[in-house]
Amino acid sequence: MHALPAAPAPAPHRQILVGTAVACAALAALFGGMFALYLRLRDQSVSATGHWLPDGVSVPMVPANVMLCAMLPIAVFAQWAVYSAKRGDRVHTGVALWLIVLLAVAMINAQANIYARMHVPAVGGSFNTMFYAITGSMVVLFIAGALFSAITAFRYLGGRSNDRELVTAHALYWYFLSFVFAMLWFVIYVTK
Amino acid sequence: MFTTGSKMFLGATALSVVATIVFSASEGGAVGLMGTVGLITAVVIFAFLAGINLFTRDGNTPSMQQGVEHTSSAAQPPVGRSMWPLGAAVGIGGLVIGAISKPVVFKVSVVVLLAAIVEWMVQAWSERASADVKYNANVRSRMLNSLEFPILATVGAGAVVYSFSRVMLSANPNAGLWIFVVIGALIVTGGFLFAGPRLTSRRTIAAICTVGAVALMGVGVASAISGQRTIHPHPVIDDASQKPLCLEGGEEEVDEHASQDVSLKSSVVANIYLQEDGDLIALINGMPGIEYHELTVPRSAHLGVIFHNDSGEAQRLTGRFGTFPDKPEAVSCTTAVHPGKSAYFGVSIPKSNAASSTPFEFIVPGVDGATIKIVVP
Amino acid sequence: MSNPSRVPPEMSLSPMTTIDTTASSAPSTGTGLACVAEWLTTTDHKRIGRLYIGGGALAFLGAAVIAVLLGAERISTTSELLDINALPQLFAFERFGLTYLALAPLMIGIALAVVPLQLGARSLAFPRVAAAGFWMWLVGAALSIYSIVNNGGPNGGNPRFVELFILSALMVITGLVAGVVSLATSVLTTRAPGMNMRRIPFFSWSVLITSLALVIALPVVAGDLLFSWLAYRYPSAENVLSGSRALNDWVGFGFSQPTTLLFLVPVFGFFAETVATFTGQRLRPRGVLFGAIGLAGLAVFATVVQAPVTLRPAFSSLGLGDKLADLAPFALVHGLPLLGAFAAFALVAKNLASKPKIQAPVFFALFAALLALSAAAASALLHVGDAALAGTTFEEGNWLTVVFAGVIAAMGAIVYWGPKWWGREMPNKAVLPLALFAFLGAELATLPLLVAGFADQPGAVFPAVLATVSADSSAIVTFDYSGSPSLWNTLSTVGLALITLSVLAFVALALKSFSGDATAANDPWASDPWNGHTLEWSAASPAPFDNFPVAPIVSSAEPLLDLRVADRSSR
Repeated sequence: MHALPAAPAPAPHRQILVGTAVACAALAALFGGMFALYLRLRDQSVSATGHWLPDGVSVPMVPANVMLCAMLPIAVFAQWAVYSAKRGDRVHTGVALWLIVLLAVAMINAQANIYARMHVPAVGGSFNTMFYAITGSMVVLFIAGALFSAITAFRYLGGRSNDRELVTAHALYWYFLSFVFAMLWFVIYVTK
Repeated sequence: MFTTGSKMFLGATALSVVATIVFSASEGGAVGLMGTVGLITAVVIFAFLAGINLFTRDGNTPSMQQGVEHTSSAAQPPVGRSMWPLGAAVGIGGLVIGAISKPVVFKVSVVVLLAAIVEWMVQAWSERASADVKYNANVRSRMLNSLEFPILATVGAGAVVYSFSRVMLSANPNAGLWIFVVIGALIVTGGFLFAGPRLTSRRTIAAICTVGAVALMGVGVASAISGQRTIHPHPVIDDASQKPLCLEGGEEEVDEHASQDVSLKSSVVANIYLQEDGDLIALINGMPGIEYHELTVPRSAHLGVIFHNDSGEAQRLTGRFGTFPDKPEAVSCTTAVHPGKSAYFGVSIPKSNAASSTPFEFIVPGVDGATIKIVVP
Repeated sequence: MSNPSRVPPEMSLSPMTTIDTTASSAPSTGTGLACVAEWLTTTDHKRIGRLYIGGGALAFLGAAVIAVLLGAERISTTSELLDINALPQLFAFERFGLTYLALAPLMIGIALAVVPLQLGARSLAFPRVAAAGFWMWLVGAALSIYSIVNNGGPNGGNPRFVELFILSALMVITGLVAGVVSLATSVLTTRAPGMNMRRIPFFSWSVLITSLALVIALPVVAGDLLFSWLAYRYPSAENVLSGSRALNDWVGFGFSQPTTLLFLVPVFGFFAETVATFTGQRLRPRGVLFGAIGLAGLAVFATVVQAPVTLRPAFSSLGLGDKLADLAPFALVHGLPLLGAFAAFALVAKNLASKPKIQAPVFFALFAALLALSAAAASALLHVGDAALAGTTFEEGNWLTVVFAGVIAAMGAIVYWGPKWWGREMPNKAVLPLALFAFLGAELATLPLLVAGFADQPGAVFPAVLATVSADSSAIVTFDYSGSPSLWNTLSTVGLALITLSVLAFVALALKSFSGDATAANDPWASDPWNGHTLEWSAASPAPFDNFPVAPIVSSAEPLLDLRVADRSSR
């Protein structure tokens, strides 16, 4: 009968949490810079012409509001995953993580719906460029978040049930994304 | 209470707050707004990092802790080599190139990037399985080999087949026959050597096969770059710009091999014969011996007929498929065929609820009275 | 306080009893393809750092040659060295190349190769992320060069390749961000037991400040590049982000001062390290020096603001309120970093009175710190409206000062830490003159441009181009290049050539010194040629794949100095 191999060394303490925090800081800088430029150009356009949105473009608030509302259950599920992981409850951790993946896909779908309903042409004024750059970057972050959730689920459920710090880092990422999306919702969809 | 790192972050936060207030008070207008929002972002970032740092207590590891030289973060051994960072970078580079060139490059790069991420994830996961490198490698192999080998084999075989096709397309027809025979024989021989009785070592055979495959792919790339040979097209002429050719006839080479396409076509509903006396008749499959001068075809149905030229000179069959509001007349025709030869003609009646201002019919341009009416319910 | 009886760290503890998961990953002495495969798949922070350094050095030499040619073009209206139509593109690429393909990877590469050793860590945090960052930087750099060659780049004529340039610049910056995220995380979480933040080496502290600043600054630049790409791909006359000059107008802040000053913060850390080592003294007060280096990192404010912060012209005639409105943000954005740079320089330089040993690294560090300080001062002056220096060669000279400060610091760092990476030293007598030549070349290249800027010589404009503009056209710029401007331009070109040759000679000397079989010195004292104070000198030379057999435990900021003092007093 073969003996089991020796257990691995413990994971570096706090490394993945701090690394995720630093990466979130970089993404916050990215969006902060984009929001700053967006607001500058909006201010200049409104001062010069009295409007900012192109003619014929209106913001469909329902899907935008639903997206904002959906960030709340995402954040709750992320914390639920942390809570379950701390108690060694693999089933609930897995459910929470995969629900987040599902909601992330739903968010991408909702964004696609907004694109289809707004009909903002790619060629146009600076609003068009900024709109697609900011919301497109958000979509990329949702995709990255879905991947992060899938990877976390794989690692945690794949036997690394002592890897709770990864679940915490994952939750931190989704809290950060919720915050950024709230800013995006206000700047792009509410302020217009 | 506050660690050194926390003091740094809190100090940076405080300075950022001061900068934000000063900047917003002193700079007006759009530029001031932009700078203020940027500085607010810096405030948020520093405050966030300060909070994280306070939570982790600077990441300090007390030196008096038992066994700390083996268990601290600094004591963790480095991870093993990995090609997936390079793979991910290549995938991202492909995305960049694909964004300015062909979409297929972009799509392939997405696949490459996803594959690199999955491999990276599994490698990192397997390295935490135990402290034994061989055991961890075995875990990784068990997880991914069932995916990697079929995919790599498919990609490799696909590359060989595609390269082969480029070589065949660029070689002239006479040489292509011999190239096909020789390369095919080599592949079969290689397969026999590999799978059959051991005549030489497997490693030698594998090396020869690898070199051969790489050589074939290299030649395939060269062939693809040089372009395929000129293959004279003999399509059914259904371009609206060719309409005068279909209706009035003209200078055009005859398709010597039109008959060779006939046997490959299916769904033929009728055979249309141009007889020596200039009469055009249709013989419908399943109704032998009856000569028809009209055919019934539903709208948007795809019709296949074979045109037989039994006259004394090269002729073509032309189909007139109606003129609908705001559109030119739909006309297409076969290439000209020699007497005694045939040509396949696949067309479909345009789907439109409006009435046509011109008749639906098959004609032979230049031959008066050679007409078969098409009845479109 | 240190324990006087404690022997060198790696000899005091028994080896780890768990199976070493990295045994099979230790670098072998394979040749040919196996060696290439090792480097392509490496996760050793020292190798990743050296890859960055190698790439940065190559890019510097290439971009420096372009700079010399452009300098020569500026001397006379009849110069025909380069195609007139290519001049604006080459100038823009020189800017991008020297900043993000030379300066940035040199600084980040040295940090990656050194910081984990200084922290007493056996590994970098997220080494594969750092490796991915390098490969992204390399692929992005190759694509950007390819785009320039095919008439892309800023002001380029081929739309597809202009797009390629913007996207590849985005890739380069993303790669650099990956590297600095690894560095920041390493310093914050992966330190030896007992090494609190007050005890980390000055160089590691400066790298932490730079990393955090770049984590904020580089994504802002990346965001603007993203807009620029979309606006270029879908251009429209009504889009202010479109147009051939849009890239310069909206992203230019990412390639000029004070943003580029962020790459120089590690220079002060390196200066502190070398002065402490070669004077044999502990630099005090540490906290104040840490604070000064931290202040220098506040140049990040200028980047997040995304617009120049200047003192308006006729400043003295403004009312008190307007003066304060101008002065307050100027002081925060330009004054604080300058104060930090000056304070850091002064706190370290005062120890030079103790007569350090005449070794090349301290000279490289001193010259680099002097250049960095002058660059910070010139950057502040550049933004004084009354000086009317914006748009002149003063800005170009200022930027070149930044680049050369970083390059000279990198050269010094290679001399200083080279023994730890390669197990061999560069000969001091051969490399010391190179420090002087490089510094003289840097001063000769930049000072004339600064002087010419005061004489209102326009920047990024070439006399051969101006000569083609007809007299009755509405030319924006007119300037007489004969007389003293010709002298300044000539001197600057000579200086550029001198520093390029110095770097080339340094690279050749380094290749000669560091190549060949390195003998691992297991005696920690023999592996420390400088009598260093910090933990990296306790590792073997060359440092093995996992740096230390076990994590060293420290109880002071200069553990090796403590051991040396204790060793002397016990005899």
